[in-house]
Amino acid sequence: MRQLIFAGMMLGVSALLTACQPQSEQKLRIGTNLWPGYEPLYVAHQQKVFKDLDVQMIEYRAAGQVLNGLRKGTINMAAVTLDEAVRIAASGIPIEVIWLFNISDGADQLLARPGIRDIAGLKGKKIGVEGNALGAYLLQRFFALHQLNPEHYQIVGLDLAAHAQAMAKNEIDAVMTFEPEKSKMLRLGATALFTSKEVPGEVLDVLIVRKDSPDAPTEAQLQQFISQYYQHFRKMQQHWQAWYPMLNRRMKLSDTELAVTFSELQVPSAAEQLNILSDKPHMQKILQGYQDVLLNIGMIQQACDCQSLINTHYLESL
Amino acid sequence: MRLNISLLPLLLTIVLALLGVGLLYLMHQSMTRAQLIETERQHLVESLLEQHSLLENYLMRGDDAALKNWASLKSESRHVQAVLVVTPDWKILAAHQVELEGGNLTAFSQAIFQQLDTLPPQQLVRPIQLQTNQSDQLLLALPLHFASRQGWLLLQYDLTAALQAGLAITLQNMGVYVISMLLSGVLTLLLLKKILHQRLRQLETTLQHYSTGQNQARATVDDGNEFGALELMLNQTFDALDQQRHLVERSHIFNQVILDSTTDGIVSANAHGRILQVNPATLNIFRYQSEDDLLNQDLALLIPGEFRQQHHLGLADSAEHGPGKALNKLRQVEGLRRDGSLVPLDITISKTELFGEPIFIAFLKDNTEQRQYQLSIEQLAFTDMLTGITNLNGIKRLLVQQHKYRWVYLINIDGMANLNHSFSFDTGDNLLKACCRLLQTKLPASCVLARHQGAEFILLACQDPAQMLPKLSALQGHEVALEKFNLKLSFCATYVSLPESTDFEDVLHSAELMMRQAKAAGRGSVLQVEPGLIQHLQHNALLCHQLELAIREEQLFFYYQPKFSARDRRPVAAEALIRWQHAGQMISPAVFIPLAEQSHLMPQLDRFVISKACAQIRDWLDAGFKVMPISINLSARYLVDDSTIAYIFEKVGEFDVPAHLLEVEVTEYSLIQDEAHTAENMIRLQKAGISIAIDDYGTGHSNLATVLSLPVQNLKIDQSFIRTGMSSSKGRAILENILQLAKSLQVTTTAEGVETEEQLAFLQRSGCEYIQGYLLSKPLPHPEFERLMQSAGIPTPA
Repeated sequence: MRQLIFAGMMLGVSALLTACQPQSEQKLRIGTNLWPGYEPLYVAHQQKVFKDLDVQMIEYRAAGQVLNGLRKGTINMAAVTLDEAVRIAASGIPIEVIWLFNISDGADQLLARPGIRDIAGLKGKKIGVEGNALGAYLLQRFFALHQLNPEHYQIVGLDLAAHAQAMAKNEIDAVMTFEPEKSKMLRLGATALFTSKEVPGEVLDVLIVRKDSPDAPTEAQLQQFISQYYQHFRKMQQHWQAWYPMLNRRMKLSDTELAVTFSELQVPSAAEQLNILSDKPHMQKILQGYQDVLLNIGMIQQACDCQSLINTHYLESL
Repeated sequence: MRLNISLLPLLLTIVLALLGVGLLYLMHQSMTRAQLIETERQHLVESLLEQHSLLENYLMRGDDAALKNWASLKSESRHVQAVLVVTPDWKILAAHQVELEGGNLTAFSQAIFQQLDTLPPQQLVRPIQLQTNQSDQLLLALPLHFASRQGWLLLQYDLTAALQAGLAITLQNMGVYVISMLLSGVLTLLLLKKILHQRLRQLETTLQHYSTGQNQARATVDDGNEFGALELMLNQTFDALDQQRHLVERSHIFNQVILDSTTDGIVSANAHGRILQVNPATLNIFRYQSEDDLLNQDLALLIPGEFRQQHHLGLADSAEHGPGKALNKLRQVEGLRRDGSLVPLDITISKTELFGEPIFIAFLKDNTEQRQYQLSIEQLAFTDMLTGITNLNGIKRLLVQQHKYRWVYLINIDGMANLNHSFSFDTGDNLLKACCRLLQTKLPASCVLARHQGAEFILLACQDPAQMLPKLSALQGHEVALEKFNLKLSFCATYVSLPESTDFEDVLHSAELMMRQAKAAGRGSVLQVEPGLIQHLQHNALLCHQLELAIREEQLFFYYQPKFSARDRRPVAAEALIRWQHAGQMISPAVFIPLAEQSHLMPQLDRFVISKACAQIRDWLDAGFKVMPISINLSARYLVDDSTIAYIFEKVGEFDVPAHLLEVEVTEYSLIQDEAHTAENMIRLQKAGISIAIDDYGTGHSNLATVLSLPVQNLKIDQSFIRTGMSSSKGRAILENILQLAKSLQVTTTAEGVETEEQLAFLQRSGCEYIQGYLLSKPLPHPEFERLMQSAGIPTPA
């Protein structure tokens, strides 16, 4: 009798719990803009390496859209540049960097339209830049390195996708850009006045994950994700060229352009990533550098607590 | 397996909960899901339409970058699976995946291409839902204008999440439903356990206690719920049962007391005649000590041997044919006592059923005393106490039983009254006893002798008078020895035949009447009853009775015999003659006057005459008639009686009759005994003014001088004298002397029955003053007499 009542009550409670429980594990919604360094991730997704994980790729056209998506919570993971990660962290959104896609070694360039041959020719001209992204940082770094006064330039916010088009229509004179827009403009006869080669090791593309949203991925998911991705990444790393067609599916560059682009990127192995990311003084210096610039140009209002921004835990467990 | 009834609600709840869950799930699968999809579709369609113009704007401007941005941002939504902007040439202009852009729609989906390709050009801007191969997907196509041609915006939504959310809500609802159902079930269970279980247990305990004899056991009444009424009702039922049991106990005790105390024996037996129950009175009647001597014995034990066969037959008959003849009737039987003696019993047997078995109950009454009493009553009723022979009742009873007696003799001992008076009643009684013995010994043994009344015996005989009369005659003069002397027996006897059909009472009556005649005829008379004589006697007796009635009811009336003056033939007075008309027939005074004399009715008749005459005179006076004196006849025997005179005075006074109008005619003057007193009364009448006449002089043997010595005013000479006087000279001389003597004594004379002129002439000559008779008038009825009074020159009334 008593047992029966108990059983009945248990049945009821369990039914209630079932009703309240999350139906399944969180989707890994990864937002990226169009950037060659992120393509291995798309290839891996396309190759269906993520087993038992619900991975969805959100293909934004611009870095700003990625940041917005992260802020809005429509995505819980994103591929961004490290400076963007700092900006996000500084805005109070808790994120962690768990993977280093590449280090830009010239892939980001300031292209001037045909007719402008050098930096001096740029003075007083309109420079397009993705307003809410790496471009702004790089532009500052360009000004700083070349001791230019930003006030002598008209800086125009311009989404990546519109870069080539805007230049073609002569709406801008120069633009801080990267692939695949870069190749389009080069085809139009644009000239690179500045590349990320000048700031070696400063432009890093990383995978970040938002930690606080209700649908934040669990550590186990992330561990599984990194692990599965790593398996595939190793295969691609062994023979990059073999994967070029796959890597070019979204970029739609010519083979040459693609080869050039990848030559302007350093794609570190997992061990290298771990070396770089776990070098705290080095990373701290880079991060501080970002913050100084960003604070200076008002893109962040306060310094971020970036002590825990880099999480090498997943890389370490590979 | 025992199912605890209070678990039923819980089981029911679980079943209901499961059913409810199943139903909810089915509802979700069918209705809710469809509804969700539809809602989602509506919502998507609306948002698409909102953005349509924006997209058209991008197209118009050729701003592919903006379109691509838009596609990207659109695909940001969790449920958007695909966003494609397709040109009229089926080229993908913008897509959720960069990779697709620039490619052909067919590369993306042949199925979508085919669906779109078959669509006609769209006039209206509205999303069209396309078929997909996945049920949770929604594919919408919105027409877009590429200059003058039509392209498409394709949006593929994944509704899985939305549906899962819906399902989650449904599941949540189901959970809440199940929990609330279970909770209510558990609550009901607990409630039932508390109320139903406990209180039912209490009721059960109470019932158990009550049924095991604890009659004080009662349920605790709690009015809190419906059980209160049940508990109350149970208690009331117990109370009622208690009361009923008390009643039954009392009734049982009462019945036992009645059974024990009744003097009637009550025996019950089954259909086989086995005794089931007896009461103490039964033991008493049959002289048994203990019930055990009789219980389960055969009833035959109590029945005398000769009736046992009949008893067994009756029992068998009753078993086969239902109620027997013997049932429910009071019968008198004899019972067999233990000591073998018989006891007279009144018995009534009734049959009833007890527990489906027929039983017989016999009610017995010991009749010993009653039998004895009955015998003594019979003795008293049918036996003459003095002689010990039967009496009249005995005779009557005998005649009912036996019809052989043909003759009745009545024997009445003569001189019995004298004997009683002279000696003593004992002497008379001794004579009667002696006579009785004598008659019994001397008369044939076949005769039945009974004492009737007084000195009379009734003898019923088969023998006719020819045989019997000599035997009776032989007894006349037989010497009977009494205590002090011997007496020669003398008796009168009458006899009459006794036809079979005749009423004995009538026969006896006629014999008794005849006995009067025999007695009148003298000692030792023996007469046969003469039917004619008896009839005559009876007729006279009847007439007597009717005469008395007639006097009392004043049915008698007068005829008036006028008295005329002999000289001038003028009516001067009248004699009132009494008449009786009975049953339409005039009865002659010659008949009824002697009857009245015999039955001592004369005083009443005289008083009637006095009263009637006075009343009539008063009527006439009041009517204005010139009334002539009216004479009435009174027997001299009653004139000696003072009360008669007093009555005359009373009536004369009462009716205020002038004395001279009333005359008293004295009849039967020869019977006057106390002459002096009679004369005295006559004088009293005369002094009052009432004249006296001697009626019918000449019929008796009285001396005329004696007659005339009485104070009379008128002498009425009988018709016989008149006739005699006319027939011979001697007679004429006597008549003349009478007339002369009367005249000398100043007594007027009236001749009665004058029938001829010759007689009248003679009487006139002889000096007779008044005459009566048919010559001048016969007696007149009332009206005629009144006419006579008028025509006599007497003035008619005013």
